[in-house]
Amino acid sequence: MNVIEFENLSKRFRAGGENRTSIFKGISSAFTGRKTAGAFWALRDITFSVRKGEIFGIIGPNGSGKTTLLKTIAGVLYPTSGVVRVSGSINFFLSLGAGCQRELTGRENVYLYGALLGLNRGTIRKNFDRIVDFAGLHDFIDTELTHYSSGMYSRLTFAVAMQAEADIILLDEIMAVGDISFQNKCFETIKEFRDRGKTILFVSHSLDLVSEYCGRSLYLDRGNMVACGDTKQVVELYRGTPTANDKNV
Amino acid sequence: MIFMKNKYLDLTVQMTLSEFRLRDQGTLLGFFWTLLHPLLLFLILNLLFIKWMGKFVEHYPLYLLVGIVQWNFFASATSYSLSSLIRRAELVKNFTFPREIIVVSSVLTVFLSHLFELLILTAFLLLSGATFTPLFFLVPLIVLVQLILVISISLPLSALCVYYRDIERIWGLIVTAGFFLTPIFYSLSAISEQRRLLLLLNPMTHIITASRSCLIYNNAPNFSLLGIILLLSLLILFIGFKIFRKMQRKFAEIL
Repeated sequence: MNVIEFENLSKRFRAGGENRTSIFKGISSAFTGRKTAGAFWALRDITFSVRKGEIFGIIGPNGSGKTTLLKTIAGVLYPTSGVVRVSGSINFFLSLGAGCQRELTGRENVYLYGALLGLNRGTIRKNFDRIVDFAGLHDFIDTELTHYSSGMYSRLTFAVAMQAEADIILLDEIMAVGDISFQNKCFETIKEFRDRGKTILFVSHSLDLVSEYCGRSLYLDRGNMVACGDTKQVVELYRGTPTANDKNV
Repeated sequence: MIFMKNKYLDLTVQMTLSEFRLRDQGTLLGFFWTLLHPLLLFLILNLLFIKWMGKFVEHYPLYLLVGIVQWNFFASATSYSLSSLIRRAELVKNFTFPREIIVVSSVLTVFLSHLFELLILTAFLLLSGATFTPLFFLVPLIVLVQLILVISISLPLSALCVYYRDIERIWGLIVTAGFFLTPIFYSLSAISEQRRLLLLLNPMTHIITASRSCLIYNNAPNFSLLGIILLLSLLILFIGFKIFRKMQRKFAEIL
């Protein structure tokens, strides 16, 4: 059974300029007829599907559209054309520490971050000890986040995020920070989720991790789908192809 | 609407409380800092106008104080929530909860301070010799209408502000003009008939007038006027909500 289906999905971003528009600019461009130029395709004609219970990898060089892909699944971004069909609830963990307030303590942030993920206060209170245990932050839970290291930051948010029960879990480069023991803990959790029939999508630059955990993978390059299928082959192809960055050298 | 769902209610409360704590540094001292602006305004206006306006208005200092406190909420809540989506852009980009929660919780953050201000105001009124009347219990009702009015304005404006950043400046001008076009430090009766119409079209005029009649003059407020404001606010809220929903699909891209 497919839980995520992409059908000819494309996403276009307007580049630069138009982001900081103003009413005055809008009025003047209406008279001069000048349009702010520049658009690029972050994703182009993507078609693939993810089955229930899979750990699915997404690889590709920087700027290839991996995060955009996750964000269209999550519903943060809407496709320009094409469709994405998702069946089941989604929990996603896109950027570390987004939504946390640095001036508040770890404890306060657990509640705040949990609420942002759609957990109600009762659930968080019930699981509070488990969250702190998982993050291994007993001694720092009443310390303000300003004094946290980036590793501690990610441990705390990841621990909270894993409390949100969802059918599909999107993870964007979560292993960039955090020490080995925490990484192992994360993967234990991820495997446990898979065993419970949950689907995990996993963006990473670490080909070793992707090879180890993902059955199938998708390889993106500058918004185009290069390959999708058995991880071993996809990773081999990725290793063998010069990337956009390499070409410039 | 969206607030039927418990988790969104939790989120609204959670965001409001954390923002409130950060805004006023969570301390009594921080709160007094926010009081300083209306207090200074009161002292200056009172000094300048008590002789002149005192002829038209009974209990002018109290009249002025209620006006300033009520206007201050309107002005600071709309201005603060206007840029809320830009201020909390990372939330828009990384979470999918309804975006109006960001705007509403910003309004509620200011609203919390406003409630404290109202408490202090009431205490001050009683200390300066006003008698406690059953009409005081109507004040929460007026404040509720005011809150709905503020949210109905903030929703569409904050959405527009994502697209057009200069809305923030334009609104700043409107609020400044509004301060003078609302009977805060002068009385309606001091204004000529034809010009008075301009002030009567301003919903804040009626909110402030109703607050004064309850708190100072022991008169029943004009319920039909309050009702009209409430209905109008609800209508704007409905339309504003539709506009907001339509525009929010692009927020994550533009921010």
